[in-house]
Amino acid sequence: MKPYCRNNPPLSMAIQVAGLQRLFGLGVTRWDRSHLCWRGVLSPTEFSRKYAVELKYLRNKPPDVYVREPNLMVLAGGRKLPHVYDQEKQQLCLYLPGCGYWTPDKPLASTVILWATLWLFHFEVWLVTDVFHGQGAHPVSTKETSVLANSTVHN
Amino acid sequence: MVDTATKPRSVSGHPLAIIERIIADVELSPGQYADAKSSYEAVAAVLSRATSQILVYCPSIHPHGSMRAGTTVRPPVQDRFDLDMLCLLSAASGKIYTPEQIYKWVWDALGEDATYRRMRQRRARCIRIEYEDSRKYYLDVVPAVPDWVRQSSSIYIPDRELKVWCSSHPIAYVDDWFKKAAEKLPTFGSIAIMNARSMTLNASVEPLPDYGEFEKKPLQRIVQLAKYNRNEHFQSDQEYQPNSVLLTTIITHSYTETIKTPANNLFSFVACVLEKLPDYIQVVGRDENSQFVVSNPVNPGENFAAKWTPEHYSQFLAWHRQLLQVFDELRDSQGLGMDVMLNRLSESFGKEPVIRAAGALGADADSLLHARKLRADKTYGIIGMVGTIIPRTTYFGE
Repeated sequence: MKPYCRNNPPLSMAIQVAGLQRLFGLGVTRWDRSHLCWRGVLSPTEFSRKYAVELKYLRNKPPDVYVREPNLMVLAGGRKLPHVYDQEKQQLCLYLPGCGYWTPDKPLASTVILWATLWLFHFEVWLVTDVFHGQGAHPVSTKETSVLANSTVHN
Repeated sequence: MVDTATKPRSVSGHPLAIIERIIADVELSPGQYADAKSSYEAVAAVLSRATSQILVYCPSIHPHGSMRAGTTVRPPVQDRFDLDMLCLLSAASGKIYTPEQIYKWVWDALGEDATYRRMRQRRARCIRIEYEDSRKYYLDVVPAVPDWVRQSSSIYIPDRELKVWCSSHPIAYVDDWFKKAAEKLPTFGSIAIMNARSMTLNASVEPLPDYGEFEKKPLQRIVQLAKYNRNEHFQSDQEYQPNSVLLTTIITHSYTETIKTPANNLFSFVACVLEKLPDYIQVVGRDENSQFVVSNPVNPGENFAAKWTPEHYSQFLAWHRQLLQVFDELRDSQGLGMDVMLNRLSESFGKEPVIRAAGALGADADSLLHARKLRADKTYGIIGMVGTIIPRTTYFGE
C-alpha cells in the first residue's frame, strides 16, 4: 500500500462533510473546523438490520467508528466480537493503521463508512458461520505490534 | 464444497441467492459434468462399437432424467448422483422379444468390455455402472425398445423382475414439454419492480441478470429447490416421498400458469409457483378410497401418482405446508438481519449447507473487494455491484 504522501493536504472539514452528505445524506453531521461527528444508519443487505453508526473525526487524526445500536455483544451470544478496538464500546477496527489505507487526504464517506458497512456484512455472516471473512491482520505479539499476521478470524 | 475459486459470484445476501449456492453445491459441478460426460461417451462407445452384438438392433444412446433436464440434485444420504442413460434398440420389437431378452442383450453388450464386465450391476429396470469413489456418480443404463403398437414417440423399458414392458417417454417429456416450458420466463411488472425497489430501503439494488438470483433457468432451479427440500424433509422416512418426475410435473404446470401474470419479483414468483402445487394433483373419490392423478403430459394415460395412497397425499401436503412456511418466514425476515434469515433457512435446508453457502458469500465479498469490484450503494451502504467502489482494506485487530 502506498504510504501517505505528506504533499497531499488533508481534506477540509467542509469537503469531508459534503462527501458524507452526498453518499449518506440521511445521516446527521455536526462539525466545525477541527471536529466532525456523523451519525447515520447503515444496512449492508436488504435482509440486514439497520445499524446506528457514529463516526468521530478530529482533523488529521484517525477517525473512530462505533456501532451504537443494536448491542452487538448480545447478538454475538457471548462470543468475542472480531475486529473491534473495544468490545463494550463497539468500536470497529476498519483498517490497518499506518499502512496508508486511510490518510487525512481521503474522503471519510468513500473509505471508512464503506468499510463499516462491509464490516457489518461480514459480522452478520460471522454470526452464523463463526468465521469473519474480511481479511484481517492482528498483532502476534503485544510488544511487536509491527509484526502482523494475516488472518481470517475463526472463533 | 462450494467452489468459490472458479465461480465468480455476486454478493447478494438474498435468500434465493443463498438457496442458489446450496443447490449449486449439490448439483453436478461443471467438472463432475465433464467427467460424467466422458463416462457416458465411453459407455456409449462400447454399446455401439462395430463388434457389439446389439449393433444389429441399431442402438442409440441418450441421456435422460434429471441430467437431460438439468435438474440434478445429489441425494442427501449418499454422495453420488444417479445419472440415467437410455440405450434404445430402435430395430428391436417388444412384439417379438421378451423384456428379459432385451435386458440381457444390453447386459451382455456391456460385458463384452472387460472394464464394464466388472462394473455392471443388475437393477430392476436398468444396469448400473459403478465407478470408483472419486467419481461422484453412477450411470444407470436403461435398455429400451420403440413403441411397436402405436408407433408413437413412446418407448418401452423392460422390467427384469416383473418380466413386463413398462411404457415410458423420457425424451419427449424433457424435450417436448419440460424444456419448452422452461424457455418461457417470468415477467416482472415495471411498476411492481419500482415498488419492490423502493421497499428495498429506498436504494437502487443490484441489477438482476435475466434469471434474477438464479444462474439457471427459473423452472430448473425451482425444481431443484423443491427436490432438495423434499430430500431434507423426507430424509428419515422415504416411504411417502413424492418422486422427482411427479414433482417436476406439478411444478412445471404451476410455473406455466404463474408466468401468465407479471410478478413483483423473483422471490414472490417462486413462492407463488410453490403455493399452487396441490392444484395439479387431482383427487378422485373420498377418504380411504381416494385415488390421485398426476398425468404424464406427453402420455396422458400414464399416472405418476398411481401408487399414491391417502397417506402419500397427506405427507405431501405436510411437506408443502412446511415449504410455504419457510418462504413466509424468509420474506418476513427482511430487515431483521441476514443471520436471522440464514438461521431460518437452516431449519429446512440444513445447517451445514447454509453455513457453507454463507461462508462462500463472505469469501466472495472479500475476493471482490480485493479485485476492486465490490461496491456499496449510497444512503444505507448496501453491498453489491452498484454504487461506490469500496477501497481495499485489511481489518485490524483480533
